[in-house]
Amino acid sequence: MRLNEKALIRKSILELCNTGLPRQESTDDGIRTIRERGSEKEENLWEYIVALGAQLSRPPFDPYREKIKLTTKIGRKGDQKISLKIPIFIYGELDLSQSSKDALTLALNSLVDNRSTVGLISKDEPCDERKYPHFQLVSNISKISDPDGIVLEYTGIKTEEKIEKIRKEFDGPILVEVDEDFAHYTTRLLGLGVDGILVNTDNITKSEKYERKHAIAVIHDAKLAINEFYRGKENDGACLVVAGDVNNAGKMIKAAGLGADVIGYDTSLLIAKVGHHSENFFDEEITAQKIFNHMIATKSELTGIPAAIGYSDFHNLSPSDFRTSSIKASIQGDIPLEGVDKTYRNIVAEILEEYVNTKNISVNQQEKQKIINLVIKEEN
Amino acid sequence: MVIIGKYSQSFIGSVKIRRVMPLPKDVMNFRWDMAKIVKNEGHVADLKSLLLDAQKAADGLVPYASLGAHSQNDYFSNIIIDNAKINSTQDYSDVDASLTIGGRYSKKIIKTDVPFSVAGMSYGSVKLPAKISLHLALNKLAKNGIKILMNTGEGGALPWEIYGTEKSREKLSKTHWDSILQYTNKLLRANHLEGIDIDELFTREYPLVVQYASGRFWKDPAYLLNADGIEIKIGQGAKIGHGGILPGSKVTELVAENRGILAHKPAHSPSRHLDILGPEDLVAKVLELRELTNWETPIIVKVGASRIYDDMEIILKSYADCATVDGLVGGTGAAPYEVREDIGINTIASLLPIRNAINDYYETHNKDGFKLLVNGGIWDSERIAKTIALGADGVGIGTGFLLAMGCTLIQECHTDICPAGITGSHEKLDVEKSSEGIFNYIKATKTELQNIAGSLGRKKIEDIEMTDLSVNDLLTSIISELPFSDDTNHVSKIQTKIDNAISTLNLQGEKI
Repeated sequence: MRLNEKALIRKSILELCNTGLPRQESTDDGIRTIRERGSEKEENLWEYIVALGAQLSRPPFDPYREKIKLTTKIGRKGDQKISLKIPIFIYGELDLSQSSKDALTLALNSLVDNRSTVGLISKDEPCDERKYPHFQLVSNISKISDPDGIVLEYTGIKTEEKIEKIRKEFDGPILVEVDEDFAHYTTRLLGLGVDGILVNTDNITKSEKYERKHAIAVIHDAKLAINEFYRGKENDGACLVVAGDVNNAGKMIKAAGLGADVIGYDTSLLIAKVGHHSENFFDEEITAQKIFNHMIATKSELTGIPAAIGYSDFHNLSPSDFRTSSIKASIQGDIPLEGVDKTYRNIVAEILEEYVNTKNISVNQQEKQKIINLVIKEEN
Repeated sequence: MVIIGKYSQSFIGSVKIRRVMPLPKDVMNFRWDMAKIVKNEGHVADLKSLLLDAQKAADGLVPYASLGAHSQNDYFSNIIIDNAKINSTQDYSDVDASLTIGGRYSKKIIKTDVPFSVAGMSYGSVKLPAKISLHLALNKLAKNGIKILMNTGEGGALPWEIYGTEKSREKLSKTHWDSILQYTNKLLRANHLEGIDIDELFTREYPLVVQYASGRFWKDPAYLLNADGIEIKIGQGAKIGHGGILPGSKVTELVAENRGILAHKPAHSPSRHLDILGPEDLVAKVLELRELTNWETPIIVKVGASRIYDDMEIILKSYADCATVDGLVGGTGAAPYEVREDIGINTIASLLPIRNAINDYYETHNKDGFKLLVNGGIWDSERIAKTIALGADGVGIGTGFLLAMGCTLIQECHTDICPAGITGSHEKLDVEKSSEGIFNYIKATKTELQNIAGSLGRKKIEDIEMTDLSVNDLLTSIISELPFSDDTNHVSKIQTKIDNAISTLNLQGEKI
């Protein structure tokens, strides 16, 4: 509910309180008018997705008294796995000064000491004092310098050749940051032994292919691409790292529900860049403390929400735990609508099935899919 | 802690609001510094989100919020009550607006004169003057022929709520009564309300439902025994699966004394009742309370709207008289921000699975007096009527009553600095004025409801039906099964789209 709608409600109640008499105008009519006027504003689909909390039919966990597991392992082979206590990689495109980088290192090491390990993805050479896993983002494989993992940017078929080459020399996990065409080559990447893909929703939603689509569509499609490789088989640990528009705990939880295993998170970089604003000098320790505090609070949020949904493990979140109050979100993320527990696609499919049966129309499965796609395109 | 600009003026629409800035200067500045960087990077800065980040960076704690979630689509305004008038020159005061709760298993029945109640807002979450304003207003309304139900919330009840009837005081020893009066005087003195007449205060003429929540915040068994109804609170819309919390800053010595807990420490109720883990446990708990109250007191089970079909199935089989369902936007005094925003479904969306659960149950059971109360985003006559038409017997209102007392919607109920003096002690609430506001609000809402029902040709509010409603958008039609004003529904709308698609694709679809 928007601020002006709340103001209208308040005004309306005050009218009742002051007069004790029925009002002249309906407030819901007023809210409808406000919404019609504001309908051109682009919707943030994250705000239309909710999780189903646990109560009688499934008891909630208590995050203050019971352990909620967040640990994630990166890597498909047992002896190469990297463990993160919080399913987060610090990752982003912000350029940091050396002082900010030092503060970040300090904070990440403190997190490890506090059993809250997060990873770092960066182009920089891993520093020797690090206790946390550093995944080096490389485009030139000759510049790899003893990282715990590697992230390669996908630049076409040459990347696949590079993977083959690196795999021979490097035992640690390899992730590939993919572009908008990931659906075409993810299976090949996983076939080459890549340990996971990284999708940056900010970049991909800027592409023509994902024009007017939201981050949830990217996450959903990326998960499908991974599942395609494992059709009929059990996933041996290939992970989906989602970065971009996932910068708070609510979005992280929803992204996890849609299929993300690890989140690429840039708010820690932002805090490192701001530093210690109220002084004229940059205090590494204070900045590190802020990064640390922020991550600890985020960790609490990431344990609190799955507990309230009824899980003791963050990674148990699945699409069935979420509902949406937006047809667009239902289409893009394949999320059931609240109340009816069916996706918009399923509703259209059911109505189509009944329609063709009633009208005795003969259309084959392929044609039905075309009809459904066209109908849902109208609402997307 | 440095607090900037104790007061600053701001405007929401045409309403002038005195706004308090409760956050430390450091946090505010940090937020702005982050916003500048985000903008420089070419992104749109989400200031609310950055403020939460700045708070987390400052203290390492989960940020809290209050009132209800900012649901982007609560559907209420997409539903139209066709041909209804909230204001009419005709007199519809004979329209029956009453509501009864109980009698399914309980010997006693609660009867109220309006189908809406004061939703649970406990002492501690709201301050004493606000609780007294509600108490006095509800008594005055009862004297004027309008009995309205009040729910205590989970933080226990005040002495005059528990011992507000002569019968409840009959068996009290003098020592006990003296200690009650002593605590009452302490409460009144601390709030500069010594002028209130004690006899008047210890008169409760409205029905009271007490909450039995996981925190068990009461110390006097009379809390349960003297109530007109008991509500077992499993969850609430604002923090489903999380449990309640009253921040330490709001747990004053007097609040602590009332709840039987330590002062200045957060009062945290567990996310689940330690003895209710599933359906059988709920049955056992309901029966335990039935035995305790000699099967007299109506028992209600409250849940937040989430896996609501399954939860309703369990409640229907639990020997409860009534269910309360609280939608996503249902308010709270304090909840973790992300939990408030991201868990639970909207009130209107919950009503279809609730109806289905009730209908499915009564396919194999004889009709009895099971009642359904619904909360969350409901605050005026139209929304009450819409909710009742969609299957509720009554509704609970929380934020509406806060607004009636002068709430400015700054949503800082969890911080003890409410500028209206309702949930915090920054200013003193004018008890007489807010009591008058509540009185008028209830009276006018009842009249509006009678006008709505009367203008639809109904003799009772409960007779308003789904056929009186229509919707103006596809999604609301899907989730409510309501038709559009032209009598089409979501099925026919989608069929038209299918027809168009068949034409566009040139799939003439051979007739078999």
